[in-house]
Amino acid sequence: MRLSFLYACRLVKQSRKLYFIAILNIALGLLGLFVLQNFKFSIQDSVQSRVLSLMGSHLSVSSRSIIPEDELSAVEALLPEFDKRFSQSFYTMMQGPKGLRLVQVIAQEEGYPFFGGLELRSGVLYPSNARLLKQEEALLSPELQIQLGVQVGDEFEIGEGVYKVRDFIEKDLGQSFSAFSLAPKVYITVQNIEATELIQTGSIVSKSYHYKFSQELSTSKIKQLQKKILSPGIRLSTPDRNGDQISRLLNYLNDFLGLSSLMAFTLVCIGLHYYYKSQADRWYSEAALLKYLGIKKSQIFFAFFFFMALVGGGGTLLTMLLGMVLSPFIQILIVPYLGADFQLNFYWKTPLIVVFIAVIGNVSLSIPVIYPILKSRTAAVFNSKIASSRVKMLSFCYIPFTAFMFVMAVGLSNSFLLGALFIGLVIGVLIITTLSAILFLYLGAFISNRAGGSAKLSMRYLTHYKASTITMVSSLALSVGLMILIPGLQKSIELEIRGEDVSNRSSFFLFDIQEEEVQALEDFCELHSFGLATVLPMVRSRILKINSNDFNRSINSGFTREEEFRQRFRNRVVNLSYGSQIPEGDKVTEGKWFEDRYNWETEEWAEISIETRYAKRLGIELGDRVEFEVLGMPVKAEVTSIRQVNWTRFNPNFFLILQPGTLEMAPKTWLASSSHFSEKEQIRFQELLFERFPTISVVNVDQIAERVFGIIQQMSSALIGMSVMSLLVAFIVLGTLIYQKVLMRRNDLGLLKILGMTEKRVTLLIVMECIAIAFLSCIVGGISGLGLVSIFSIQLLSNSIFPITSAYWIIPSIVVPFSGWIAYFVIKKLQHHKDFYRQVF
Amino acid sequence: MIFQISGIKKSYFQAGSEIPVLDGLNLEIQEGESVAIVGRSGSGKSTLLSLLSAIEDPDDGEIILHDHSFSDLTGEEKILLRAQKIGVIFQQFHLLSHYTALENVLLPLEIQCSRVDKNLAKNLLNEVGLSGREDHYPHQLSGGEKQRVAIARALILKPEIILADEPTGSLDINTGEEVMRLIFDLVKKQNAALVLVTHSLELAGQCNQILRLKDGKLMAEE
Repeated sequence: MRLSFLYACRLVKQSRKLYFIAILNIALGLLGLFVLQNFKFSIQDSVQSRVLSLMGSHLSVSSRSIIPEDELSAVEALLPEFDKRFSQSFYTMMQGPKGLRLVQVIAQEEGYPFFGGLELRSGVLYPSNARLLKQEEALLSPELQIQLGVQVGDEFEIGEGVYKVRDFIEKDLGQSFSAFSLAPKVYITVQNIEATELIQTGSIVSKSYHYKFSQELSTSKIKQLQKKILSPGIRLSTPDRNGDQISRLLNYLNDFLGLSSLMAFTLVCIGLHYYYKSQADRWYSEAALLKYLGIKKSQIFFAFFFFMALVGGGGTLLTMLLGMVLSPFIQILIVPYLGADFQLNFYWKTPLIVVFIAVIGNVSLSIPVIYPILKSRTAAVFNSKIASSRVKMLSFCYIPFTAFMFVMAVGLSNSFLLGALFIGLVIGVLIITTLSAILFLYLGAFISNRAGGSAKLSMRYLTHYKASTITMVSSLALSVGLMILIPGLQKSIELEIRGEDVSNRSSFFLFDIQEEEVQALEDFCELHSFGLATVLPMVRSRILKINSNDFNRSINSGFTREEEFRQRFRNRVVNLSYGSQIPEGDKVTEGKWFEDRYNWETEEWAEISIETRYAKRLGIELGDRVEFEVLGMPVKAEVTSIRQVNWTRFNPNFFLILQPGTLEMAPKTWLASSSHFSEKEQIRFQELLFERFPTISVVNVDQIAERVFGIIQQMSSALIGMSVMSLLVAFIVLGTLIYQKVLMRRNDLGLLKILGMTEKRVTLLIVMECIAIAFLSCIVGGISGLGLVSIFSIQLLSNSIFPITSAYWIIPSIVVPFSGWIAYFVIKKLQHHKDFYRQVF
Repeated sequence: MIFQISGIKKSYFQAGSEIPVLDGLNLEIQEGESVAIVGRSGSGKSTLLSLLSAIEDPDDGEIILHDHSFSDLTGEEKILLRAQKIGVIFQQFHLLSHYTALENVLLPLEIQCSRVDKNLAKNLLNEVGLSGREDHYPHQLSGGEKQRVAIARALILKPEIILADEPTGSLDINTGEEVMRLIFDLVKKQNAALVLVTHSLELAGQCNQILRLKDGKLMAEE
């Protein structure tokens, strides 16, 4: 063992520069993973430490519809001694001196929340350290002070109720990360909520019962409680589940960032593999010599294993060092999004994970190199050609590494599908890259026969050393593809949210419209010349059966991301609508739209139209039969059309629309959307509408779209940051490869100098080769990236136009010259060495 | 006179200490003359060749090639002068592995961007006995054949002096003799001077002058 270790140390000492580049490469590749793991643990810690404050109670039972008394009693019968409070919330419009704003009104019983609360601007914590709210008092989110111009002591109206601003909230301990809240909050007393006169039949109001116990509930107890909940849409929350939910969104981002960092790691592996391969011939001969001298195979194995471990270990140490140095700066970057309370900590399990990845990844990567070394023949001592002769079954040696990468991809993305897609994409791009590079080499060989001078030399060299050319093209093309893909995706989503033509989009989305207000609203809009784009009824229901099979509702903790998503999706209360006209902008892709009204006396099955993606998620096809329940009444329908919906219009629309004549008698509210208004018209519309229909809630679609886009921009900035890191790694890989290539060619270059080539031309030769590689990488990586953008944008988001962004030309115009500069830098550095050309003698 | 070398000194630094290699070396080479330089390993033969081919500059002293002092020339002028006047044959052949035999011979012409006369290269390959092997790559040639290609390459620009660095060092005795015969014949035919660095006194004996490199100086071999 000692001998093996000493030999490994000697290998490191022999090529110190390359060893340093290799560990720097690993460090940059793993830095993303290191930071992300710390970020993930910090989120978990932050949520765990505040889990009771975030939840406010030990248990809550909530619903947006009625919570049946018997179900609540059944739940309470299983609970230990408890303290109980009630709260409800709804969205409505609030008027202040500066204008109107959608707000979330939250009415809580005295003494709630049990944990946490609101830190008020006056410095007290409500409700534990402050006097309770008087009936007319309200606590407001701070942004309302700026948005509506209200001050402490000002009176304002919500519906018919008049309230007075007692204080502004400095920090809501029940809110996790401010970037994700939809509307500012107004806290009032539960006794005073009726005064608003906004809660009517059909209004969307969330009601919650909160419980506090002497100790938290066990998992088995929670399972028992869950069984008592039979009505759809009733949610049972506990601190743990709530914490999971809160961290879920950030973890989604983390998962995607994880894949980007895995891309950087993939590039590192490509570079490392090339590094090992470049050393392989020497190692084969040395291994043969060691065998000749009587050293056992196992000792040789351990010598190279230790060497790989030294590379992996060195890389991990450097990663940790860089990670710790960069952490304070990353903390500064994330504070605007997660709040000053969020602390990015250092966790000792992170280096363990990174060591595991670095060592296992490195060892699995080195199998294709170590295996032939172990198989090297002692006869190679006498004939160097034997040493490099091919070893059979070498391609099987790549299986452990591919499996390792697959496990990493699934683990990092928390999704089998995403992980498989990632590995598939990497392999796909590598195959495309390799094929393109081979085609290029073939063309290059053809051109080089006809070219002369430096061009011929460059092309000949690239075509002769196929492996290094393909490696360089692959690593650069992968990162160029990634760099093209992310801004492309961002642009696609921007197109989806902002729409291709803003004038087609509604300015306002109106909800909570009562049946008796529909006609009056239409008359109001006509009177004031406001365009009303769509008015649709909304009936709440739940799916009972699909093709006579029960609809499964349970969620297990062992679900993967896709399974959990699917199950959550199936558990939702389903909103139905009906109508004789197909919504504007919709397109029937299969079947046909309703031709007449449903006759319940003669027909058993009504006709239903389903949105394309919804049908795909539920696995519903044309002709399938779906059974619903609307307030206890069964509704049976057969799928007669599948529709493509243009969601970017922000018009009210439904996944499921029934034939007219089916749901007219069911209790319902209505949704509507306005036409596109100018900014001036928007203010007038809101004021007049609020005056005439105070119970109707209005969402400013422009503001929401911009807000969502802002979040996506932040997410994609993080992804771009990560892909810049992978590009940086790709450049280091490129630099390493050029360095090794030039070293390998120093005799050739010395010869060219002897034969009359100036140093300038020698430099130009190397730079030209590198530019050719970068150019090819940009073409191959760019086309692959654009192809993926196209698939995502046109196939998944159904955008009719291809998203164009300046990144498509900025990235190649950086990558090509920068690659040339790296080559220039490397060759100049080597030429500077006095012995560089002299080695030819 | 082609080469006039006077008082050149060259040292290298290794592990912080100065190692003198050439110490006031003098040498004169006439047109058509052949000079053999012999000496032990590490005596400075390769250093002398790298100085004569202007790959490196001496620390002191002067090298004059055809009235051009190397110290007065710019880097590019030196390269041009070397390409036009000096041909080099290496022990390890140094053929570009991705070029055919013909392309390797044509390489100096391509670098000089002169008119590429393939027939000239073919004739030279014919003269070195490689007719019909023009399209073969180095890995398809034997050691002796590779050295023949290298000889043809060294002669294609009709240099006035050939520097041969142990040209038979990697060949068996018979092949080595054939190659040397070829070098002497072609050098004579082109009326070029020859500086032959070798360990073999037998080969050196075929030259007009034998010099031994010892203690950084050249002295006539008795």
